[in-house]
Amino acid sequence: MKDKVKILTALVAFFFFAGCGYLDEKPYDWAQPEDIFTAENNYVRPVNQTYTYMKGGFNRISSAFLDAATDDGMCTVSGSSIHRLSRAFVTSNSAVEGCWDSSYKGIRQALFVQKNLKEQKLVLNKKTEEEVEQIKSVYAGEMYALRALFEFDLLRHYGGYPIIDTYYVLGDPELDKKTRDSFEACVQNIVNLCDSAAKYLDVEPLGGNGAYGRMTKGMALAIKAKTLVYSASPLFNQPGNSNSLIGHTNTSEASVTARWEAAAEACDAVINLKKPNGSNKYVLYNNYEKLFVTCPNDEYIVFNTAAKSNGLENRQYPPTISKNSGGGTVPTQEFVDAFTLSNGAGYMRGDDSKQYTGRDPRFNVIVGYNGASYGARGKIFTKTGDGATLDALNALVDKSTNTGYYLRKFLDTNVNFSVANPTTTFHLFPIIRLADILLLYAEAMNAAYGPDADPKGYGLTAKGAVQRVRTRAGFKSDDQYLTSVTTQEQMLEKIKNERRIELAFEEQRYFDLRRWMEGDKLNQPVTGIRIEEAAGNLNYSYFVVDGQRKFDPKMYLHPIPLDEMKISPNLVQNPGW
Amino acid sequence: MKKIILLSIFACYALLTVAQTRVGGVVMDESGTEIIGANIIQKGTLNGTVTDIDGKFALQLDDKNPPLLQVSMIGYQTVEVDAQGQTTVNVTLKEMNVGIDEVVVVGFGTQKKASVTGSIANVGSKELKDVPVASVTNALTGRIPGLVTRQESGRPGGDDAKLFIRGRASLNSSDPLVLVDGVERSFSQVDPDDIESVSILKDASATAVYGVRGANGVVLVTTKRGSTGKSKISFTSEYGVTHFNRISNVLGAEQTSLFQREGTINVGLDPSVLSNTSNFPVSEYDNYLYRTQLSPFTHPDNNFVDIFTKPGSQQKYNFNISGGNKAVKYFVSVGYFTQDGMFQTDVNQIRKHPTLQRLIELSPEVDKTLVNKDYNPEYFYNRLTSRSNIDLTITEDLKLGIDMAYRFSRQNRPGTYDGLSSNAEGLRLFAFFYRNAPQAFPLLNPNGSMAAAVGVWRQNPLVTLAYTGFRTDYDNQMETTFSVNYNLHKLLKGLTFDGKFSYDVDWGNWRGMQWRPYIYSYNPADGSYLQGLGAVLPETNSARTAPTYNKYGEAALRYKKTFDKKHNVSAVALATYTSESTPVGGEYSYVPHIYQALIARGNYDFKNRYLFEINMGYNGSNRFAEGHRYQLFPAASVGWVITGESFMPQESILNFAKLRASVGQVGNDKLGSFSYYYKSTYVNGAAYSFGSTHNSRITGLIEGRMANEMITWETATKYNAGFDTKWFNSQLTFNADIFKEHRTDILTNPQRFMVTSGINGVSPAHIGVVDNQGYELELGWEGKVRKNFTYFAKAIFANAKNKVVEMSEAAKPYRYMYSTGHPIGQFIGYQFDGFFSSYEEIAASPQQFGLSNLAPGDIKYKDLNNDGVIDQNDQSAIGYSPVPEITYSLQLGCGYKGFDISVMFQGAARSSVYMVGDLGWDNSWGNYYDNHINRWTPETAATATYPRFQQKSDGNNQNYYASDFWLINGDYLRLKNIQVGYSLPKALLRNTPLQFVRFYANAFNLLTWDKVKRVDPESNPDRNNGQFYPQQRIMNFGVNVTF
Repeated sequence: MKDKVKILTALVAFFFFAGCGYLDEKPYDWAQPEDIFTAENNYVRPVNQTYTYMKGGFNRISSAFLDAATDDGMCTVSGSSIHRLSRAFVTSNSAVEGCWDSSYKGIRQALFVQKNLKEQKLVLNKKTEEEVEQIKSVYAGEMYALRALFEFDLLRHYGGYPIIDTYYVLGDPELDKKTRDSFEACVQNIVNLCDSAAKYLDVEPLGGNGAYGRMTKGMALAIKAKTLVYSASPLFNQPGNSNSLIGHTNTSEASVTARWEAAAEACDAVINLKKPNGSNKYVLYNNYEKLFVTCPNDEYIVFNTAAKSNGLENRQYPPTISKNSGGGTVPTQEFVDAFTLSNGAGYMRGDDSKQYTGRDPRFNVIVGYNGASYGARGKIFTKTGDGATLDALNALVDKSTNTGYYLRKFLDTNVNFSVANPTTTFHLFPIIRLADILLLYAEAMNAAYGPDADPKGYGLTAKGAVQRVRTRAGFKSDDQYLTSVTTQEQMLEKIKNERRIELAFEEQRYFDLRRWMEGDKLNQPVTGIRIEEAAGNLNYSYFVVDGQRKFDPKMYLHPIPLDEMKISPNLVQNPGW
Repeated sequence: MKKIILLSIFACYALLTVAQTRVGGVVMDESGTEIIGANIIQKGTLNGTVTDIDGKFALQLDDKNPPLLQVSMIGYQTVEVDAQGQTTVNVTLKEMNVGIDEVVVVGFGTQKKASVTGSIANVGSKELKDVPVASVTNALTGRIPGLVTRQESGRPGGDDAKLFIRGRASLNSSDPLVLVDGVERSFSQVDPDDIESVSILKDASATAVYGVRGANGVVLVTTKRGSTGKSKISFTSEYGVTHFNRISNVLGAEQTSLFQREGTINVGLDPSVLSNTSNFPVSEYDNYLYRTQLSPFTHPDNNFVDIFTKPGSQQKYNFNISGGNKAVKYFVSVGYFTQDGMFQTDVNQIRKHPTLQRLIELSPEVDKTLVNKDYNPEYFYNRLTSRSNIDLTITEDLKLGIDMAYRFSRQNRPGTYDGLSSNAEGLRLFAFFYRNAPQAFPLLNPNGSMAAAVGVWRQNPLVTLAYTGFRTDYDNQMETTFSVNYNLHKLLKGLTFDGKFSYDVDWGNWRGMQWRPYIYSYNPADGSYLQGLGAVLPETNSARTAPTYNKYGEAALRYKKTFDKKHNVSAVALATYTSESTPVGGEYSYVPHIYQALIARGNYDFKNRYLFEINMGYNGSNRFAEGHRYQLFPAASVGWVITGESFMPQESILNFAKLRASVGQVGNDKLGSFSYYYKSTYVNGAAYSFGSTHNSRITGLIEGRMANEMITWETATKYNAGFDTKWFNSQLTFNADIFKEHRTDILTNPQRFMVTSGINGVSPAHIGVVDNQGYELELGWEGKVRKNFTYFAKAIFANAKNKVVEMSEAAKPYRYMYSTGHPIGQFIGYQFDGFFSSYEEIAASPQQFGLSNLAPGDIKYKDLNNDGVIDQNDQSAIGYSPVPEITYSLQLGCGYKGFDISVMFQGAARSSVYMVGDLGWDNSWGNYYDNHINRWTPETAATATYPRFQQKSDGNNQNYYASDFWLINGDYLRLKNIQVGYSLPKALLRNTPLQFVRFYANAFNLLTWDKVKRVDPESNPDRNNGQFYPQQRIMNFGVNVTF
């Protein structure tokens, strides 16, 4: 009996032990918002994260610049999906270009930061409560500006979009019911966000030069200005439009003019933004070539920063001076032909052998042509035949040029891959820079008041703004680009061409052609040049690089992703998709 | 009193002496072979003996008891012989009829096979040893109905097969739970000589006790243990030769040149421009040089397969001792296995090849370069295994077990270009056979430097194999188990308690060296050298691999009793605890993975005729949120032994028939890596830098995936029905099973969630639903002709087909575009509709992808939505999935006296192999294969089986889009295994200490009939780039000695 009791006791004890909860071990590194936003070292990390949703444009789409889907460029990599985009081979479930995902992620991150900055109590070392509140309000202001930027990106891609202004939990019925807001409401929302940001933010970023790249008042104003120019542009002011999602429905001449006037005013606010010392915050950088590799500079307004690198050079250099790559995105003959002569007169094809001399001063630093100088890297040659190098037309699959040109812009020719440790350089991608704002200003002023008028006393006419950009580019007093311009139409053509050259390969033309409704320019083959050397003679010929370029009218606006359409029945798709 | 006792003892002794009868005789098997070591016991006494080496015995009978002799031997039916009045008794033992008294290992116990009601199949040690493979997983192929094996690599030390029990039913891992001696352990590198049996548990009844982990089926591996008797020493030695089962030979230089030229002209490029022809010249004169090999430095013709492969070899040794007495039983084993690779890494051998001899002849510099480096880059695998299973009987009621196993393995391979990568299959070792045209470059340049072609600098196989360094991986696996068994008959008759605790550790390290010579391309035009890859100075590295600790505890109460001689009752109740941890590296890694379970099983049968079984697993896992951690998995099964009924005639052609059926639920928690899905995470995001210096890069912080508190395991509801029958004196066996499984709550990453919400991701949710059903048939015959000739045949056929019912697939514009509704892993692509024969046909056909450069000979696709345009919306399900739906095998064998031979054919059907890229396309990297010869040209338009050549194949060219043109029927039939053996007659061994000597030869993957041709049909489709080690064919010789 005693044995039995012992055994039973042991068994009961054993099973009791076995039944105890061993399952409650927890990971130690679970951080929750209350940990993050109250910790001295951490609270800035979610703030910074919001910036990562800003888009850089260097070879953003499978090894190609977005401009390779315009008449300006061509991608050398045959497998790049940019070709599908430029050949209208896109659908709503495979759109190649779009920002639905990244923009909304950015917006949520900003809302997450704003919510928690407000709700969590932050105590910082050696800071008073007021100072902490000040820091919080600046960060909140940065979030407003970033939300505006993300929403602007949505606006120019899709037209009206669902405005998200609350931090939702997934499954919130309010979220599930969201529909697209009207184009007009979206424009107003962006303007409001920019105004809120401008209220919280200063002209200089919190943290001084060490914070170069953080949102400031000028950035918010620039986003607002650009939004208003888009809002006034033809694409969103189509006469007779009744679909409030894709543009304004009130497109009377007076209302369009009023939009241009508002845009001009907003641009002026950026151009004339002053530092505390009274000087202009934004100034054109005096060297167009070095502008893109100089950090900081006073011309960039909104931009994507990055640590120093030389990946862009490796990708974009011609193969002979690249490390193991080359080509990437290259300019077309159409783009080359768009450069004026050095006196501002339009270029007409004549003697092919002389076409690379006497052109726009920017030509040599934007385009790498046969015999072009790459600074310290020497000259490169795209000719075939005798003495051809790997830089020659089609010499290396996917790496050598397929148009006869290379893109030289953005590159720091001091980067030398033949040494053991090549130097690196800054490559900040400009999203909005002063030259852009000046040309937008010119466009708005011209549309509102004509090429030479300044009735509001901004101190700058449309022509003056364009000329300021051209003068920085290196044009001398003999520049006759604008001399014969008298009408708004002539002026607009000049502004358009100036934007094409000055802002080349900055993801501007893709959207400019759309807002100007010049899709037909994307519906034509792009060409290149073949220069063949035989017995000391160069023979020039032109050929079609891509004969499949295609643009459908529905492509003026991008399709809302099919998945999103299926999951949110309230959404209305853009026309044609 | 004392005197009386003494007296009576004496009297007894006298009585015994007087009354003793001596009986002798021989024990033989049915073929007349003497049986050594058979037990002879006088019934009801402890009086017994064992037969000697001649099968003879002699026993003094105790006349107080009836002179009944019980003769028994493992594997034979026990017989009783009445020795009344005889002095010589010759006994013939019948081999045990499989299934009558055979015991099978089931979850947490054993059961008589005859009374099992679940779906369980098992393989014995003999069959496992018939196959000369390194990993025992490959020995299971074709042995078990419903077990699908896929051997995807032949790399020494990495060639184990993936196992699928009844195919796949989960969108997550379908790997079965593997237990070695009741503890979750890998068995792929266990020495087959140590394995007693492998049981495969298939249905809910058999697996419900494993609850949350049993849904994919369970593999139970049982190692050998000692049994009472004389010590038995067994020694096995094997030597084998390995060849690549499949390695595709590419076409030679001249043919490649002609094809390249044709492709270049086809797309309108000038073939005289080098860059248009993969950078090798293709003129008539160049073809002349390729053909004649007059200038091997400028016009080489390398047959890389021939130069860089060799037969490999393997050796296997096992030495084990088993035996025991009343107090101790033991099985102690030591095994060693070594295998070397089939790539030639020895420069002294490589240089003997005529191709290199020719280079040496032309340039003394080449001769100087071709020397072995002072390290060994060879592929090899060594494995030392040891095992000691000890059973101690402490008292009559208390037994203890101490099991220890230790395994040490070493893998060696060449270094890699990508640093000392741990991805052993990711090397380009196999790829380089395909990624270079035979004329792409000479292996060495005239100046003795290493050569490679512009743009494919990394592809010189000589550099890769012999001049890139090496990496060696060491692994140690220690497994210990302490078990106790206590008979509680004092408490209640039939009650026992047993417990087990095991502690396993797996740890290892690796070391390696990486270096590389400069690589140049030679330009014969001006004699210059272009440097492609810079040299890497020797650089060594080594590291510890994270150790894994596994703890497992188990306590069980078992009860077994028969009432009234007809009610058989047994029951088991268990509690188990499992903890796995790898406390180095990775998020949450130091949190152990814990499982707890309470398990119960009850069996009842009436006269072994009506069988009932109930199984329950009540499981908990710390992967899940509180409140979702525990769940009960029940199962029940019934069986009816018809042949036990009185209405069945005693003498019938049907000797045994059992019907059985089961239903139940089992879970699966193999949901990918261990993550706390039930909590939202806040994780490191991207870094963003501010400021004019960018020194202060701060890593961002983001909301990770949204939490899903409801996370728990997936549930499989399984139904199974089957029968086991034996006919014609149990010579014919016919078994069948039919099953259906409905897997729900499969944790799936939702492909559709609202992007507008801006969240970074959602946790997986219980979305997936998969149905799986099929059947298994097994037909066997074992027969004998006269006395000496035995033969058997066994056929297995199994079918398992699954269908994804739901998996939150991304939205598609047309119904037919969805993978949902098709098997897991279904291929999706365009449908091949022939080759365009003319421009008129192209113009009249639906516009293909808006392309304007199509030409006759291009692939035409079907317009599924009839919108006149072929685009992404014309993709649909094509072919099958990579895992076959049907598997079958046929085993044949016979024995005559000491000779035996057995053969196994094994096959699979209804699977697809996607042959693209390096292995499928023309000139993917410069190469062509036999199947490209019949390409489309205007002349061969009617009979062409391949589209017109392109300058270079490219996934972005419409001919190479995913389509059923590139899917190859994966059906295959194999002579998987053949074995021939000869055991020496006992008579020969009479005067030696040897008891048993057997010589044998066997082979693995000897012949394969299939349509894939270029690679093994079991190859993983992801490995089309050739980045894997091809499967091997093995021919093996061995000897086994027992003494």
